[in-house]
Amino acid sequence: MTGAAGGGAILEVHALHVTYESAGRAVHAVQDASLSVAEGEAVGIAGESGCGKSTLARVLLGLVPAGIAHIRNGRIAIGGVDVTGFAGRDWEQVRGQPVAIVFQDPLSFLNPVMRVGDQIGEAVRRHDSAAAVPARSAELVDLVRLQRSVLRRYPHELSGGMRQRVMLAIALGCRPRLLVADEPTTALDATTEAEILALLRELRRELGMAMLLISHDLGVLRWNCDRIYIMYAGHTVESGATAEVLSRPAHPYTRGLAGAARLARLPDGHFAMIGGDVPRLERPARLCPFLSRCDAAMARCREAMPPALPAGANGHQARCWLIAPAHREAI
Amino acid sequence: MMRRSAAWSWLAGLVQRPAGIGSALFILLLLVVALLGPAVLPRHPLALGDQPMLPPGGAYFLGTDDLGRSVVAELILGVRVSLAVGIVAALATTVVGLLVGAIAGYVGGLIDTVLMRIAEFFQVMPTFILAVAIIALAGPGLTRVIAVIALLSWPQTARLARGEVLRVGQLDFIAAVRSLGIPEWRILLGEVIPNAIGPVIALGMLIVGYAILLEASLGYLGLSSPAIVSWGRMLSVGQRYLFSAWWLSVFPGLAILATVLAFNLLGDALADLLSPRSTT
Amino acid sequence: MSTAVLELRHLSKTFRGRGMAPVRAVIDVSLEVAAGECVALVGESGSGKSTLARLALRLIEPDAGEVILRGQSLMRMRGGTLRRARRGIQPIFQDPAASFNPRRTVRSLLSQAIEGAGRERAGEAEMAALLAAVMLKPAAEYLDRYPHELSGGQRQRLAIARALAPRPAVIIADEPLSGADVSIRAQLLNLLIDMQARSGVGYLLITHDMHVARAFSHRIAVMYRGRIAERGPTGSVLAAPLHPYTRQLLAVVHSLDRLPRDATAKPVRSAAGTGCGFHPRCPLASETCRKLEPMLRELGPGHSAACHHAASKEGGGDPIQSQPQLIPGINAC
Repeated sequence: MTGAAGGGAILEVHALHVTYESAGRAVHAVQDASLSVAEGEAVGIAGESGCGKSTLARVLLGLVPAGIAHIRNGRIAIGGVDVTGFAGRDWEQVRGQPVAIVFQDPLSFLNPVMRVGDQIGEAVRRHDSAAAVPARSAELVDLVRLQRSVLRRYPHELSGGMRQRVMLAIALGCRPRLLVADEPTTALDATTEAEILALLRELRRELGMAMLLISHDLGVLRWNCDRIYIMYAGHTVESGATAEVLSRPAHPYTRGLAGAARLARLPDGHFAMIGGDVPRLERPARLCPFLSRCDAAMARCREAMPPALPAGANGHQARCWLIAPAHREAI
Repeated sequence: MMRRSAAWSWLAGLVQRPAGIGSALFILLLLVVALLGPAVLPRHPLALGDQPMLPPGGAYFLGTDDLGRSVVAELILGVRVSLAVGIVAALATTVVGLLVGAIAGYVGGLIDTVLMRIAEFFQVMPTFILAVAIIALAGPGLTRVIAVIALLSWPQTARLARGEVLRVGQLDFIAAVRSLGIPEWRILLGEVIPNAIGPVIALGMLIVGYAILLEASLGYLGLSSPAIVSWGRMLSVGQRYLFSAWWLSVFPGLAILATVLAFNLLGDALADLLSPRSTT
Repeated sequence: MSTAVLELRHLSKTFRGRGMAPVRAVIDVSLEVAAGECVALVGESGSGKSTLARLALRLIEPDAGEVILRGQSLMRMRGGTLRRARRGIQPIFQDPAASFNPRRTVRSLLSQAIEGAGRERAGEAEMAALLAAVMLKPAAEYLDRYPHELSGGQRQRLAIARALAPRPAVIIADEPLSGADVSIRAQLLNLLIDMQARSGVGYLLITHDMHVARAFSHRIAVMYRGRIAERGPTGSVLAAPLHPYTRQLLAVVHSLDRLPRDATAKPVRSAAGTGCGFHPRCPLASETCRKLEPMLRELGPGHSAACHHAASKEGGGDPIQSQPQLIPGINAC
């Protein structure tokens, strides 16, 4: 593990609260999320659908619908620049360079009537001179291990894996210092997924780029991230070195999630699962959002929201009263 | 209880579309006028008056025509003709089109090919000229006008219905129902058509407007029965006096415009409302 | 294993469209599912596994081959006989949102499933029992809802209830978990386990997820480009995969506890013209593989593979056999 090798933080999010509001209804998609990504570091965000991980990824680059999504609280800094109050064209300062993003479904982000080469060229031109386009495009296609003939093709002529490589080439065309990848392999076959993940690892090694990988698949995050954040109902509930968090989870939710992901068998032959339902997000949680589903809930959980508490080595933290010193002493 | 709440949300959906609710109310008003209008008129509307060519205002409100009949009274009689033609023609078109389209789309194969070739045959004909020719040869009459309109517009409905039936037919829930051993005709009637009918009904509303317009055009050309008063016929008479008595042309023209527009807007609102997206 | 309740015999299907090259979606596939058994059919998208499911449900007609349910061939049935017989084999689909007529309530959907073509009215009690079995309790709260008023997980549970209503011998589940979160996935698998314990139904579980196949199935069949590449008992296939494609699938499983073998970022692959369909991607491909289509051969007890390089388990000495075991087989359900 490289840890926070690169020094300073390329991305810092502190106590972020994001709501979607329309027609008098509010959804508190992200309620209290904090995270940081150091230069060159690979960080994962894990969580189930509706936990706010995709909103978090999009809000970083202002890719949420203006007028509907609102940052209610907290702060986002990219490369030391506070982007929390950005609007409209402000975002051009950070989009592509220093932060680029790739999504789950490349087809909806590629222009169907434009050749791949022109789309990559467009990204290059934003940060390089027009003269550099052909050489740089070829270089990018080599970088993502595609044949150069791809430049003359249209997106629909490519397989899913190839399209995702094209998206990567476009993202890399901006020479990002941080690549945000939102479920980049979810729509792909297992072998193609493995190839794309291998490519991402190689690219990070070659380019020294940081990565924020968002996935529902703990197995994918386990082998591709130095550190991991677990999100639940808009909160970052646990964080730390990936191996440590997943092998010694401190938060009951992380424990349940890892058990379900392993398809672990209980003594009665059933698979381990998390009972109950995800809380509604119409109003922000005032107590631990996992309370209603937690087997280990105690009196203190019904009194106050737990802060992030140290849970182990290497900055392992969890927001759970179970690991509070007072509780430990009581045991 | 849930049924009522579904109907409720449906109504609420209609209310959220002001053009839809406005046109629905206007059409409701036309229906009331068509049903009750002649009964409340002070005298028989076709009774000749002694004051021809009176301008609007005064006792006759919208004036009188060359024979001294009240324009208001004629318009009210015309509502009956226009609505009857529009609604009956659209109903006939929709039933025929839906039947043909559903069978073509659901059964497929040779039957589909043959039915769609026939539909194409009707679609490539210049509709209006054909209608004029048929009526000119067969002679005027409301039933004939309705029949001609239905004959000429069913292919459009059939094509739409076929497309919708094809779309719905390949959804997973149809496969699930088929696996339950439900007979094909019940799948078509109970599963496919209820989910395919929304756009067809919306198109039916457009056809009402189209039929009203076609009837008026035929009337304008003098191809409607002289025994009845229709808006088209009023226009036909009025154009002779366009410069001396503008009200004889303008009011029936406005009536046609407003009615056709109302059915079009209602069709749009229904298309919106009946699409599966609005339910989820 | 007891006798097969569902037998697929030499099924083939080629799709032909105007202006389109014919697509050989399923090629000579045979597969059996016994009562109380769970067979996982694994493969990538485009491997023909969903087409096979539709053939088995007789939703599409095969070009050749037979579907035999409880000893009777569905192929020779027509009309009412077919409609009654097909209630013995029920589907569950991937997308629970598309699995229900959006204009029917839960009550109407279930009564349709219970009655089938029959005329008698389904009793409230029977519906409530079905809903309770899939943890939709109390029934009164769900019976009058529309499918879109349920959550994704609830809808998939309703799909399980509907599939069970006609008391089928086999359920064919086409990627029933792939849209579900991991916590929901465990919940659905538990339901399937309970249902099997109660009714002895057999499952053909179609999945792209080796992890699910490992945890849930008694036997695994791996499909590649329309053919069965390998099939056998789950433990045996996972512990000693015979086909290089199976080994590749196992290598790329992102397990929480075992480092996946490093996949190299390979360039674009070309399609196979003749010979083994897998040869363009196969590390063992030889001249024979490029020319000759391998037959499915039984190489161990109940364990077959279609690969020229796979040797029988007694044979030993084959380089393939000395590969490390990737994931320990756990015989489940």
